[in-house]
Amino acid sequence: MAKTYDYLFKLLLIGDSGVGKTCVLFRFSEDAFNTTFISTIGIDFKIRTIDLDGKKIKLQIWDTAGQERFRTITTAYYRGAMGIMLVYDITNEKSFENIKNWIRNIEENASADVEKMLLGNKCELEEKRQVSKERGEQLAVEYGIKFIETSAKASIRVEDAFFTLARDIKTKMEKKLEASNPPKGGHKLTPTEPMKKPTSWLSRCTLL
Amino acid sequence: MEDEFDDYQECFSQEGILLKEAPPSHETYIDSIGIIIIHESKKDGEDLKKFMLEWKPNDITIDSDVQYQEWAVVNTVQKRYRTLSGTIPDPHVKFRCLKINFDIIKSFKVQNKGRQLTFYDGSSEVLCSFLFQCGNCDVLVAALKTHLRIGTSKRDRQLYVIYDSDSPEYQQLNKSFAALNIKHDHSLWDFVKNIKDNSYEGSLGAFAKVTNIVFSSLDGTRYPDEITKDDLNNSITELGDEIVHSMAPSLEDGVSSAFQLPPRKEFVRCNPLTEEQWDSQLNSSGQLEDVDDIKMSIFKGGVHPSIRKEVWKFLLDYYPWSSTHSERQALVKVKRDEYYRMKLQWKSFSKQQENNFLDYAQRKSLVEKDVARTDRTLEFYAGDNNINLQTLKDILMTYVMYNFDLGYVQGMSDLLSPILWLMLDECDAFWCFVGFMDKVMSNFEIDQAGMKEQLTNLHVLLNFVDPKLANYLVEHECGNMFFCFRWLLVWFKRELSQEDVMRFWEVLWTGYPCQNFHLLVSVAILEHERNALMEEERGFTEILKYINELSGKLDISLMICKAEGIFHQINDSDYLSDSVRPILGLPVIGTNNLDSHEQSPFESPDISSTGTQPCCSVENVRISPDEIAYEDSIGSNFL
Repeated sequence: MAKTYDYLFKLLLIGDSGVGKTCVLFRFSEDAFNTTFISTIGIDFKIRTIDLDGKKIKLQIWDTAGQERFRTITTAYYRGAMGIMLVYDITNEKSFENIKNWIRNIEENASADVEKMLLGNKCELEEKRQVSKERGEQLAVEYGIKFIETSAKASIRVEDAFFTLARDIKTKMEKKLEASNPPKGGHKLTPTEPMKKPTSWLSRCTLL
Repeated sequence: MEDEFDDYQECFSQEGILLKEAPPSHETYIDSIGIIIIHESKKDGEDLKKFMLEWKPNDITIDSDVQYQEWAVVNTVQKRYRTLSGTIPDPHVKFRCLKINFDIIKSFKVQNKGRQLTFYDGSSEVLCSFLFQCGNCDVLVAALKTHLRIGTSKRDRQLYVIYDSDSPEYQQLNKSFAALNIKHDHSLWDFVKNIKDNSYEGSLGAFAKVTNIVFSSLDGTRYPDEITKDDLNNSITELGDEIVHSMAPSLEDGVSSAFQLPPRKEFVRCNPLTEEQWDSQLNSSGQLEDVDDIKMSIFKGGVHPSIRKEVWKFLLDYYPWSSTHSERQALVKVKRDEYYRMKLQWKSFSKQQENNFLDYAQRKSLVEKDVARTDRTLEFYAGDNNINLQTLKDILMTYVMYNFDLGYVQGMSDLLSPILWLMLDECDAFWCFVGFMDKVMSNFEIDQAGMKEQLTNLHVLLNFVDPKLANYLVEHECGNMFFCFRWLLVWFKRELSQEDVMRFWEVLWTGYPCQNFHLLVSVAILEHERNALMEEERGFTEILKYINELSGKLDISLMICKAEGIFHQINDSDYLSDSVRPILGLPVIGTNNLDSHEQSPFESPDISSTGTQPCCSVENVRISPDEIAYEDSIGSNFL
C-alpha cells in the first residue's frame, strides 16, 4: 500500500494540567472547539497531514496528561519525539513558571536535538491575562526557541504554531541529511540505512 | 571495609527509605530518610560476585540528572537523589552510611504489605529494618532476587532466606543435580533450549524424558536433603508451566490435551437484584441475613436502579454489612458531623492562609480545573454555575483535607461523578467516595507503583489465557501494556456509558468471584479484539489508537460473562495455574500431587500470601522467584 506522505513527524504536547493541550490539538486536527472537554488520562494522539513546501508531512501529535504524577508514563513518550510544544496558559502564572520544569524534563528524557516551541494559550482571555506577551518572548529567547500566543477557542494562530514547528523540523532534518549524505552521488537515504547517530530522532524519520 | 568498598559498584538504588532499626553505631539515624543502595563487587574474575547493602541518609546526597527509565519513579515532592559513590569528599560520610555485607545477611522479611523490610543475621537477630515511604519494597526484593540465591520459608511466606554459595544447602543442591547425571544428558539442554525456541514437539519429548528421570529417581530413592527435592519439584512444575505457555499455539491445534486449560464455560448475566429480594433479606432490625447471597446476586446481575442508592452504601463500606437499621442511623449522624467538620477546615481558610499554603493551593487549583471538565455532557453537570459542580468540588476538596498526602489526582473526579449523581447528597457521596478510593488508592499513589503492578499483572494473566497475543504485544513494543492505562486507572469510566459504568463498578465492588476481576475483564476484551490487534503487524501506535477508540463501543455485559468464564478456567485448572492464582487472590494448589515428602521450610512456589508478587517476566519467559535459585544452581543460562 502506497504511503500518502513524504515525512512522518512525531510531535508532543506538554505543559501543566488545564492549559489547553487537548484543545489546541483538537483545534488543529479537527478545527473545532468544545467547551465540555475532559481531562486527558494516559496518552492519546491525533494525526493531520499537511503540505509544506511541496512535501506531504504527516504529523502524529501526542497529547499527554498534565499532572506531575503521571510523568512516569508520559516521559516514556519523549524519546521518539522530533518536536515538542510547551504549552502554558496566559491567564495562569503558575503554568508559565512551570515551563522551566517542563524544559528540564525534556532535557532529561527527550533526544538532544528535539525542536521545541513555546505556546501561550488562551490569548482570547485578555481581561484575565497574568503573563504578558513580553515575558513569554523573553523566556523563549532565553531558551533559544520560538514563541507564539494562541487561542484554541478563538482559533488564533494554532495553525501557525504547528506549521512553524513542522517547518523547523523539516529544515533541520534536510540540513542534516545533506551533511551526512552529500548530493554528488545522487545517493538517497532510505530507512534501511542506519543513521550515524542512533540517538537522534532523525533515525526515526520515515523517508520515501 | 573501607578498602573493600572501593571494589564495589552500585547496581541498584531506591530512595525514600526510612531507617527503623539499626545497629548501635547508627542509632542516631533511626527515623531518618535515606537511600538504599546495593553494591556488587567489581572483580570480574570471581565466579561469585559479592554484594553489599548500604543505607545513606539524605543530607549527604546531591542532585543529579534523572536517567531515562520507562517506569522511573518520578518523585514530585522530594528531589531525586543520587549517591556520590566512590568520590565522597566529606570525611564523616563513611561513618554515617550503614553498610552491611550480604555475607552477614542470612534472611530478610517483608512486612506491612511490603512497606517494611527487615534484614537478619545468621542467628536471626535483626541487623537493620527499613520503612518504604514511597511505594513498597517489591522492586528492591526483585533486585535482590536477581543477584542472590533466595528461597522462601514455608513457615513464613514473608521470610526470605539467602542461600550462601558455600552453605550446605547450596552444595547439596549442586551435588544432587550431579547425582541425577542430567547435566550430561544433552536432551535436557535440548529441552531447555526448545522451551525458549517455542518448539512444541521436541520439547514435549524431552520433557517426558526429564520427567521420567526425575520422577523415577524421586520415587525410588530418598534424597538426603528435602530442600533439594522441593526445589526440583517446583522447578519441574514451573518448567511444565512454561511449556503450556510457550506451546499454546500448538495446543490450539489439538496436538495434546495434557496441558490445556479446562474448556471455557458459557455464562450469562442475570436480572439485577430487586427491591423485593433486598427487602426479603432484611430482618426485623434491618440486618442483612445472607450477605454472601446478596453479593453473589449483585455480581451476577447488578443492582436495580430503584435500590442502588441504598445498596451502594454497603458496597462502598459506608454502611457495615452487619449493621442494624438503628446503627446505620446513628452512623450517618456521626459521619455527617465529621464530614462538615472537615469541610469547614478548608472553607474557613482566609485568602492569606491559602497564599501561604502552597501545597493546599496547588491541590485546589487541580480540583477546580478538573471539576470544570468532568462529565459536562451529562445534564446533571451541564451548564454554567451548575450547583452540582460546586458540590463535586466541595467533596473533592474535603477529601483533600481527609487525605492530604494523597491530595487530588486526575481521575478522582471521574470516580466521584457517578456516585454524586446517584446519591444526590453531599455527605453520603463523600463517604461512598472514600470507600471507593480505599479500593483503588494504589492507582493514584505518587510513585505509580500500583499502576505498574496492575499493568504487569494484566500481562501475566493475558499470557496465561492467550500466550500468542501476549507474545505478539511483547514483540511489538506493547509488553508494558501502557495502552490499557486508562482502563485500569478509572475502572473503564472513560470507556463506558454512565449506566454501564455504574453496573460494572457494582459488580466489581462485590469482590466476586475473585480480587482483581477487572483485570480478567481486561483480558477478556483483549482476547475478544485479538484479531484486530494483531492485524497488519500493528505496533504500539496503532494498538494504542485502536484501544482508545474502543471507548463507547464495548459490550461490557458480554465481557463480564467472558471474564467469568476465564476465571473458572483458571480456578478449575490444576497446579499449572499457580503462577496466576495469587494475582486473583486464590490460594495456590502447589505440587502435593507429585510426591509425599515432608514439609521443608524452603518449599516454595507459594507466593500467594501478599497477592502482590506475581512471577517476574524475563523476555516473556516467566519464572517464579524460586526458580531463580534453581537456575543458578545448575549453572544454566538458557534465560
